Amino acid sequence: MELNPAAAAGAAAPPVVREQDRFMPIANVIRIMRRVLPAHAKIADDAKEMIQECVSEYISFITSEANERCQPRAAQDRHRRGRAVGHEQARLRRPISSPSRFLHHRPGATAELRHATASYRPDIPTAVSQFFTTAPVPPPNFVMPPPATAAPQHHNLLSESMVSYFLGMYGGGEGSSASGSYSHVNGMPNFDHSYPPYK
Amino acid sequence: MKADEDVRMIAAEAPVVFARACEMFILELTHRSWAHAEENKRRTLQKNDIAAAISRTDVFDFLIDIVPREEGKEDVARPLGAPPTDPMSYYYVQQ
Repeated sequence: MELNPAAAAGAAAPPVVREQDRFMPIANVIRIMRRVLPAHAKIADDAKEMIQECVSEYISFITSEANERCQPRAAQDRHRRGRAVGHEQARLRRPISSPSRFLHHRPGATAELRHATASYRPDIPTAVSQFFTTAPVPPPNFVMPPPATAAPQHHNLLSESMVSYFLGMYGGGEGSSASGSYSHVNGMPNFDHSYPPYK
Repeated sequence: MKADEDVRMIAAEAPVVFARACEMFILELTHRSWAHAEENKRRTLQKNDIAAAISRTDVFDFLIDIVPREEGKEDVARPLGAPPTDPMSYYYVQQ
C-alpha cells in the first residue's frame, strides 16, 4: 500500500488495489487455456489479459449472487454459504427456465459438496481427466440436438452439458428428480454411461 | 471474494469450489473462443474471439460490459423465439 499525502493529512483516501490482488495469476490462467487449445495454437497477449479479467469478474459475480442468497438467512450457517455458491454456479450454467426449480434444495447436497471438495486434488491430472474422457448422463431436462457435422475433434473434451452437469453436482438445484439418475461412488458421479450423440 | 465489502464470512470449502469453477470457466470460454478463431481460419486466439464467445453464449451475459464490442456487432438480428444459430448451444426443455 503506497503512502498517500492525503492520508497523512487525515483525509480518507481510497485504498490502492494491487494488480496481483485484482486478477488471478496470468501464468496459471494461460496454462489452463493451453489445456483445451491445440498444440499449434497461439494466444494473443490481449486475449490472455481479457481472460484474466473475465475470471475476476466471474468470481465477483458469483460472490455477489451468493452473498445475496445468504443475507436473508440470519443464521450463521457455513454449510448454507458453501451450498449457495454451488447453487449460483449451477444457475449460471443453465438458463433459468423455471425459477421454482432452484427453491428445492436437494437433501445431501451439502454432504456431497464437502465430500467432493475433500476428495478433489488439483495436482493429479488423472483425477481431472476422468471427467472428460466419457460423456456423462445429462440431467433429464436436457434435449440434445443432432450433432453438428463440423464438430471439432476435441468437442467432447468440454461441452456445456458436461460443465453444467459437473457443476450441478456441487449443489444441485434440480430437486429430487435429479438425484435418482446419478449413481455416486465415493461422492463422485459415475461417468460410465455412454450417450448416443457422442458415440 | 474479500474484495467484496458485503461478504463477511467465507466457508473453508468456498475457495476450493471457486478454484475448480474458475478452471472450468476458463476452459469453457477458451474453447468457445477457439471455435470462433477456427471459423475465421486463424491459429491465434485473439481478443475478438473471446468477445464473440461472450456475446454468443447466454450464460456469459455478465461479461458483456468487459468486452470492447457490443453484442449487436457480432450477432445478426434474429426474430425472437428463433432457434440459436450457435452449434454449441443446446435446447432446454421447459418443465
